[in-house]
Amino acid sequence: MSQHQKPPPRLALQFFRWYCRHDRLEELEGDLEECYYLRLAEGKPQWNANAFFWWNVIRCFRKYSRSNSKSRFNMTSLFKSYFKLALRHSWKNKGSVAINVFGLGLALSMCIFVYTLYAFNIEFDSFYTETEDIYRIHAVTERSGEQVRNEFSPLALDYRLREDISGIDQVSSYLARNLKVKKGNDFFTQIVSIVSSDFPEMFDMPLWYGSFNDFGKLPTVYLTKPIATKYFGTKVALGEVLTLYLSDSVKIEATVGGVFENIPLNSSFGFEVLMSLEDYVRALDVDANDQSTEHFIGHYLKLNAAQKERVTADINQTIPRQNESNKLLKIERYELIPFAAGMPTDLTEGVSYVTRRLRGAPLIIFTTLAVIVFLTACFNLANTAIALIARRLKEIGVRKTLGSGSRQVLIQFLMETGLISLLAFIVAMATANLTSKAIMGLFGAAFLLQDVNLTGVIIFVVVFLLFTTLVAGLLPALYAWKFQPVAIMRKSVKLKGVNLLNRILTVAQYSFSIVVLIIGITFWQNSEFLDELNLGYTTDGVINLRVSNQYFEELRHEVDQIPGVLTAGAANHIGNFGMYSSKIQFQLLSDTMTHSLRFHAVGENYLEVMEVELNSGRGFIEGADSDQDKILVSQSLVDEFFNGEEVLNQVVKINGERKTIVGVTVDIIDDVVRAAQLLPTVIGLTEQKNYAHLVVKAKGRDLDEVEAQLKAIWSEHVDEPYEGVRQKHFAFGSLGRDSKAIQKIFLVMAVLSGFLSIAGIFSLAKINVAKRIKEISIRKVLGASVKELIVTVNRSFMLMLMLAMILGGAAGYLISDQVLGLIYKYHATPSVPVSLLCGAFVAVLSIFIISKVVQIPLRSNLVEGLRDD
Amino acid sequence: MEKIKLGNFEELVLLLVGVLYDQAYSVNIVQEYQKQTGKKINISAIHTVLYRLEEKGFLESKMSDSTSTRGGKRKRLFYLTPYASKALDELATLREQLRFQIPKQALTWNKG
Repeated sequence: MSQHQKPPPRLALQFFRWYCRHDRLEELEGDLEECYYLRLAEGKPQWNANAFFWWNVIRCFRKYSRSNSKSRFNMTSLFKSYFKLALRHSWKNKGSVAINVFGLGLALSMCIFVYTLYAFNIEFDSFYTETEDIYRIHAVTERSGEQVRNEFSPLALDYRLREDISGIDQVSSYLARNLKVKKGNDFFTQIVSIVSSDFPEMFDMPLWYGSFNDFGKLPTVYLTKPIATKYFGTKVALGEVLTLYLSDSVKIEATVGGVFENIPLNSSFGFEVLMSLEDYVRALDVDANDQSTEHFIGHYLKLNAAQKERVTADINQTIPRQNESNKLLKIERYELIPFAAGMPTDLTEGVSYVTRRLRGAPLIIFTTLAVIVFLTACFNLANTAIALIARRLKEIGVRKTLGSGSRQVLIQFLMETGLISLLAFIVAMATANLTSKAIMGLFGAAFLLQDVNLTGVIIFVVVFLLFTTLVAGLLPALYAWKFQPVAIMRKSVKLKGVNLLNRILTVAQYSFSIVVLIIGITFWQNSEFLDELNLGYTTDGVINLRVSNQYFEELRHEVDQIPGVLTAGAANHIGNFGMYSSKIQFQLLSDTMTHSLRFHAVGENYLEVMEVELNSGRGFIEGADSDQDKILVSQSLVDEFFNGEEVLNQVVKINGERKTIVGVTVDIIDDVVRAAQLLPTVIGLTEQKNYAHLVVKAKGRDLDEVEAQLKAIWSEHVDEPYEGVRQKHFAFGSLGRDSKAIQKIFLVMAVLSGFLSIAGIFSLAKINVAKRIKEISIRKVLGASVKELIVTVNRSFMLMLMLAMILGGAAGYLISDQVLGLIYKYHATPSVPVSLLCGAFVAVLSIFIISKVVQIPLRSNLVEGLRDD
Repeated sequence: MEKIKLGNFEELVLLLVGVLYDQAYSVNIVQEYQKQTGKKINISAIHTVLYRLEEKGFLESKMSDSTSTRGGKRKRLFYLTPYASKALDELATLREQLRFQIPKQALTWNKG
């Protein structure tokens, strides 16, 4: 029957013949073929029979058919000997191997860290199951002419969603606030989530212990595992009572109803304590149906996708009523966004209570950094490997003469690179967590290896290492492969020790390390710049205490007793991103238009204490009642409304009242990071009954000591937790500290990559000298001086370094400017001389090192060099 | 009774080799197995068991004469050894003995 039919697939048959043991080949092949023809005889199509044959060939790859003859033994022993050789050679070159292993390992752990950042995003919200039908409600509002997307909606919408709008299966609400929690006599500030009672069910929040039975009915709170441990140690927290301060005057006592399992960092709802919205609304005495309240919460809906359009339309119909009664916020439209989807990037992000995926600057910075450092490490590996081959030319020649195939030489060299990669893998896995702690620890919480899917990490690293081995190992391996043994033995092979490829690699590697160094130094300069940036007021030694007005008098009196301390009161203190400021309607007498401007109501000697600088005019005079109708304005206000003309003694209307301008202050910066422009500001005088801040200045005194005294006085007079904040931390927010952190990271990376580059050029120089040992010796015999020799031998290196200096300097300048601009509104400009200096520093250091290498043979006996081999 | 190490499937294959006397080679056994049990099986499973049984001494084999059907390739024919026939007998007897010791009531489904 077989004569008329197509034979089985040839490739499969070849594969079978390759693995099958010879004494059983005939019978087994016959069996497989017979099965194949039987299949065809059954009337199955050709492809089916082919697939069946392949399947059988694969299935037959078993113990009974595999050859266990000597050839396999040879293969393993061959690999064993490759391995042994690789080990021996690595041991011989411990130095460069160690540099490569650590360099590559650290670069890889940096890459793993970046991977965890991406994994953070990819696995975001994977903690919540069954979220396909859940939608977030986004409210689009307008802020200074720009549409803004907020993940919140008015509290009153809650009622509409639950009662008026059909087609919604479930509604839950979420709100997060920083609240003071009192346990016994201790106060803690915690992130408290306030959720409706159906929230735990909707998102299937797993409890470690406890239950949701009383949730929403009795005042109950739920803690996360770390917080429960912090409060109660190993004790069971159930039934314990905590006091939550919802505002200065409202507090609520609640029993612990349960403790949550660990909630991963990369989930939308990140909190420490959970309480019910019903309790919250009841305690604050808010009418949940009142559209004019300023309470906004996040809403989450569970509904059938088919209903989405209609429900959105229904929700949007509530807008006119809402906007009419609520003057605070005008909503343009509502949108339903699938819960699992990322935040749409079409509009500017506004307010939301939930955690977001990582985006923007940190991802870009760290990815760039990781790629640069990784490439440097790879180039270094390739470079040193090529350089080392030069020493092993004879070995390759002998092996090839003895019958070793080119492929085996290739495998041998790949194996050696593979060995380094393997060791680097171990280093990388061991240091990955340290790296992310070292980097992210500076910013707060670190996302560690155990927090992501480990399989993903391993696959990522293995793929990366295979890539490294191939990229870094293939070059030298191919290099070794193409040698002709006869040519090697005849010594006619000119190993172009430093060929074009090496040069390109070295220049690239150097440029990269110079770039990293420049970025590090620029960030360093920037944090200095931020430290010295003139904010228009002093931050040195100033502590701000927010205090209820009833305690103010008493407290100030006591604080004034501390030696070397000045105090002042204010209703609207400067700082904290302008959060304490209020808004006023500003109107020129000649104009009917009013403008909403930032306003600071301050006490009498506030300006002196805060050292607010005046451009012209005067401040408020102490004890002068007549100053109540006087105001100060900022320079930007003068520029905007008076076109820079004289403003002193001009009269303007503030909230409809006539006020006289008596002075012009410099512009006040209270947000270094995000302020898009200077904000026109008005400063006015206010009476003591409005004071909400006690500003304490202790210039030249140990702030810690002053703060301790303040705390003591505070606890004596005030029945609230102490919340003093040092002014310095205000304007910069976390970014002042971040700048220092980033600077540290870049400098460490610069040292690492610089070290790698220098190690790379060191081995290149060594091989270069080895290659030209005869030339050097002859030159020396003919009377060349050491200096001349160094210049001749290293000319090409110097050229390369110059090139790297220019390339790296330029790239470093441009990149650091871009990176800074991404993060800061106010930042230092990177300077050209500094960039060039960085490059020159690295170059000079390298030249110094390579000239040392050249000196070694020069100082040794010349006869040795001339005799060579 | 000395201990015979024979798996369930192995026993089945032994029986099939016996049934197909003189024509017992893997492809035939596969077909016979499917015919008798109605279940499908891959040829590699049969190969594995046949070679294992040969190793254990239950089977012996020889190569057949070459025929044109398999492109001239010979096939390996398997035969039961006396050890195998003894084992099969013993197993069958044991089963039969046990089967007849089961009380009648046990075989009717007892609703009470």
